[in-house]
Amino acid sequence: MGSKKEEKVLIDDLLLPKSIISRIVKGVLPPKTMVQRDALKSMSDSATVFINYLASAANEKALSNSRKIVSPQDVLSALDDVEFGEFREELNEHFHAYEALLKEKKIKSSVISEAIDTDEVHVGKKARIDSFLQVKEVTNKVEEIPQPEVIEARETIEESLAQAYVDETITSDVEESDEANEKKDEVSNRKSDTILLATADGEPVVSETEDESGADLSDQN
Amino acid sequence: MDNTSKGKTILPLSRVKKTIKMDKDIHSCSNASVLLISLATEMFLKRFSQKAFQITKINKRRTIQQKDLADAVRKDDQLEFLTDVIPSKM
Repeated sequence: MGSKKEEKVLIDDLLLPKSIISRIVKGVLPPKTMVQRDALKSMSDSATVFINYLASAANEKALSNSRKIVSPQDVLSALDDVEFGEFREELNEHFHAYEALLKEKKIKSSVISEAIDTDEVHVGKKARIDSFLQVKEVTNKVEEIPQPEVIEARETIEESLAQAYVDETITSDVEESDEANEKKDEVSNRKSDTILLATADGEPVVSETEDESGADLSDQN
Repeated sequence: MDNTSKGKTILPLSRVKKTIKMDKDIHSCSNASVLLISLATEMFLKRFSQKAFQITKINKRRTIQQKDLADAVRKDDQLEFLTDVIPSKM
């Protein structure tokens, strides 16, 4: 593992806030227990390494099932691989609680959209109507919400939904758009009237057309 | 066991996400997975500090020192992955 030093430099940028680590750690220790500053830093490093360790194991699970997106099930089953199978039960409870929270937020957000009645009505109208009908059985509070507060509440809920929404994924955005741009460049070069001097591999293009264009090519070489 | 509400993490999700993204082998990770990893990390920190504290107690101290962490890592298979992370002063 010769790259550990390099990794440490990167790890420093990603350190989890010491105050939060401290809170977590002291929460399970007797009162008046102290943690030496160096020790706290080490715990923070350890947490970062654990994140990578578990994420990597979960990724292996996903890949072994021919999937590219790491799913909650991958994380849960990877716990055994990292010798932390004892966490599985409690983590599963968290997962169910999280799903329940999501459902609740989705319903609330849909209900509030109905109340505002914007141009977005056409999009996902059926979904919202379904949610609305679901909520009607659960609560009558919709009519009580005044207009301006509804708009603010909607934005806050959508923000937190955006963070928590299950279908969203983290993708390698940068890599994907770079590839896309490269492809665009190739296509536009072919279409235009410019003479392609070399292919993407760097091999010079030998033109078999008129001598004039041939001469131009060699000049520019 | 603890009083924290289920399904919510106190670690900053953005940093957990960034840490996960560091791994080039990981194509993408659902937000729910990031949350679970974050929660597992909280649980790990608790476990780790409890193990380290056992050693602190044996030494009749109230302050967890780095060497306690290093000792815990050395003695416990579950913590073996941390072998190169905690510097052990010789």
